Amino acid sequence: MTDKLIYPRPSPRDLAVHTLLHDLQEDEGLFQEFLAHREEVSRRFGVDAEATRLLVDLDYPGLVARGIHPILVVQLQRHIEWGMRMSTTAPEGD
Amino acid sequence: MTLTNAEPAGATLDEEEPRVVSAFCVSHAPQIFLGPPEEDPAEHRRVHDGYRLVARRAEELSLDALCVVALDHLHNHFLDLVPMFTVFTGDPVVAEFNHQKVTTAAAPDLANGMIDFLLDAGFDPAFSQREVLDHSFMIPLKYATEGGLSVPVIPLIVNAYVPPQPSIRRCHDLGRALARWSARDGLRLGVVATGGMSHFPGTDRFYHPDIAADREVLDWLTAGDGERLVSLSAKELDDRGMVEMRTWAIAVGARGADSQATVHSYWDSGHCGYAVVEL
Repeated sequence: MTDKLIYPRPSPRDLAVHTLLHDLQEDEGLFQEFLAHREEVSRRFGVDAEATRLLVDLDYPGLVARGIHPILVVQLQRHIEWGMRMSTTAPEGD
Repeated sequence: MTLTNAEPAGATLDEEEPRVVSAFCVSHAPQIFLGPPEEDPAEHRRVHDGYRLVARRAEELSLDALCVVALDHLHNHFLDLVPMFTVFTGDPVVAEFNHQKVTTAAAPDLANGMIDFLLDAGFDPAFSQREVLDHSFMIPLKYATEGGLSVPVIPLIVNAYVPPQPSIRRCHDLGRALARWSARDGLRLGVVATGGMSHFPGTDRFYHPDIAADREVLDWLTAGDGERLVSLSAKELDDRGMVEMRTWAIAVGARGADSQATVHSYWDSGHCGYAVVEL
């Protein structure tokens, strides 16, 4: 057992990354845009260069190693790989 | 650990030690709803049946309301504001996951009464009237309503994933307060806590849930030693993949930590211990 938490306290320096990952869950249009233009969307959210590279590469373990909350990372992964959506904003009948 | 389908021991209120009428702890992993082909559908059905049993007990025990204790996966409660406990006071209760929606009757007057009692008891819960709850509510409500759940629901949302979380002891004590509230107001209250058991979504331990820790907790609960669970530290919960078990602690507190649990089912799915436990 180490002192480091598996589910860590989010760092303020990662707020932009966390915000992007959160909004990708909530906004299917943004998610589709992200799939097509990962670097551009990341930069628009103010994500720094290191995290942008991790997002462009869809480097999920790298994001977690950086300190990004694993729940937000796995939701992006499942959204992409499983088509699983957490969205509360999905239109009726979608 | 004893696995049994036997009916639980009596569920009568004890005047000296208030207890809610009914309490369950049941898993809510997305796979239980999504049914991936690599998992045994019979094991998913056991969990579905667990939620149907919650509905059956609600009917048998003539509950006035069911408090569903779940969490938020950084979904509604993002980093703008992360309350430790949130009582949903809107109407109706709506939960969605993967574009399926479940709507159930709410109990806003009871929910507000719960908040008033908790405030007097030294807790400071947040409240929300506008929130579409996530899969930790959608999955239990889907199968419970399919099982005939007809009593109104009071959602209680616990901060399980974003440190600092409430201590598990604090969660237990909130459950005790729920029992006292129900006793004071003569409410036949049921509690279903959803989450767990051990799992590590999003991490390199995903395929290594702490099954030994699961069995240890089930042994504690079947022995009526819920005190052991609520004595775990935040670090121990995190290391065991049991951050969500804070919801269980609320059920344990509400029913009494000495309540001897019945484990209706438990399965190691390879990434999570799926459990149906009645307290």
